[in-house]
Amino acid sequence: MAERRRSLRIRGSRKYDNILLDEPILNNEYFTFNALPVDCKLKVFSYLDHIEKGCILSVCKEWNHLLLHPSVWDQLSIWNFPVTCLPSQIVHERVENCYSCYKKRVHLFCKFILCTKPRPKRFEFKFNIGECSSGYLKLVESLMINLNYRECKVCSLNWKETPCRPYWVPPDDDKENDIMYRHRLRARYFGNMFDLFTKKATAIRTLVMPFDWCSRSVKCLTRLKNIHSLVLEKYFVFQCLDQKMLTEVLAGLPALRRFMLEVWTPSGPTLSLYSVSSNSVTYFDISQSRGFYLKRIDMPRLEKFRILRHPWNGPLVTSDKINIPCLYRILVSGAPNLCAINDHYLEPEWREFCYPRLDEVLRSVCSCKQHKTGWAM
Amino acid sequence: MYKKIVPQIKLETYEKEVFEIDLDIAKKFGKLVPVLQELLNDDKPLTIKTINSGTLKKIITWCTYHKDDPLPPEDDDNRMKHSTEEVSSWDDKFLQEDGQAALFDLISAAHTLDIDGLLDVACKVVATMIKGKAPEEIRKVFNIKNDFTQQEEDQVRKENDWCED
Repeated sequence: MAERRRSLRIRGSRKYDNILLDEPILNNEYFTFNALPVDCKLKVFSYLDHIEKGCILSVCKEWNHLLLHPSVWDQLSIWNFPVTCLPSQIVHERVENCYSCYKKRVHLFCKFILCTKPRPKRFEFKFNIGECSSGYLKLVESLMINLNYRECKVCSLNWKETPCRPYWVPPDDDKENDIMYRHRLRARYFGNMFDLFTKKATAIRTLVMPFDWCSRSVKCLTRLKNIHSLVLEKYFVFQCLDQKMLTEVLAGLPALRRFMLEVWTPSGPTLSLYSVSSNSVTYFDISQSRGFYLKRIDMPRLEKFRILRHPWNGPLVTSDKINIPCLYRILVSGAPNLCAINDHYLEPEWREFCYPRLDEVLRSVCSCKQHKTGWAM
Repeated sequence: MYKKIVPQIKLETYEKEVFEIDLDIAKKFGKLVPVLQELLNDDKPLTIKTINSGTLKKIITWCTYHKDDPLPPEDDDNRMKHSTEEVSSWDDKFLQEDGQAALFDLISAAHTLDIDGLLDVACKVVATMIKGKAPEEIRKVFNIKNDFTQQEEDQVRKENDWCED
């Protein structure tokens, strides 16, 4: 490799001579990319996405060699590939939107990655693992089994949809048309996959994923003791959320600071209200949740709270039949350090009395009788 | 009125030109941080043979412009998000105005002196030069010789055709 070390050269016998590296080389001649230190070249490559890196494998032997270094691929994001036909297979009917070539690209890329053996620091995929004929589940599992995730800090596991799949692609078989069958199958696959993953990637700090809230998945999730930032999305409309599971998650993640919960639970006359408690959470966001009403908050360190009032999720009910506690009281008693509700920064005396501006905010987000007007829920 | 005395250190470049650098700026040179105190007390300049005056001048200008930047967040979750969007137009213009060779010289010097911020942004600029180009164009832009035989090149491309449009 025509790599050249350039270094500090310090004269004399002073103490800091030890920062002297090797022989200085001076060049007033044309300084080229390939003359840069290897670290710098790798750094440049790290700013390219996987497609861009793949394309430059054939620039020259040195680049090819450098790009096969595992560290170049430690930000693994597996979903974003062109949905066009592979150059070798421009025979398909829909050249512009060829889903079968997309799948091929995904599989070829994973094969490449398994040979390169990076230690992912970031891991992201977006595949519907219930799409059996595409083999996404096997693919994801083989990546989980064969790579080392000890240094993995940021994860986004979207196991419920393949955003690149064009809407006109027919389902694999008739059973796939059965929506309940599809969701159950997928959730079962997820359970196994998540169990496998949480045993390997124990250092995760940020995790984003749809979540099924079953007890097995909750147990797996609470293995990840280092989680700092957690986003749990809905995986299915409408799913039930068991209070016990929610409590277990919050109690099992002692380092959790930021928590975004999206869950769509059914609402009706027998509405269940939730209590949430955590000693570590400072940011709590339920603005994307529907039918998730609070009974109690016990979050002494909570600083920011986000909530939105969505339309009622259940059958038509007059509002006098449903009694949802007032958010103001819940927050006053359970979140002494709160600084902001949505974009409203609280006045210092907010706990003593509900000043007009705060009342206005509550009118738009709180579902209690005082703050929500109208005869129906 | 007292004139504020700014502590300075002295660096000598390849051309034997001596630069006086404010301590605030010199603190950005990671490599020098452990010896700064000693350099302050020393009247003899520190010679850095591998950096030429033009490059050092540029480094000082960059560090001066960015001296009040907030420190990057400790939280490495966000730092891992690599993106070339963050290069400001001032940086982009400043780094590219003297041509490619000067930019690589600057990267190499930033690497030697361990100036993280400058190294990051300069490497991002180079990455932008690579983005969206075919291998042939890249070779032209960076003056790289294609040392693959036609056969080898075809082989590499075939093996990695997942990225080919």
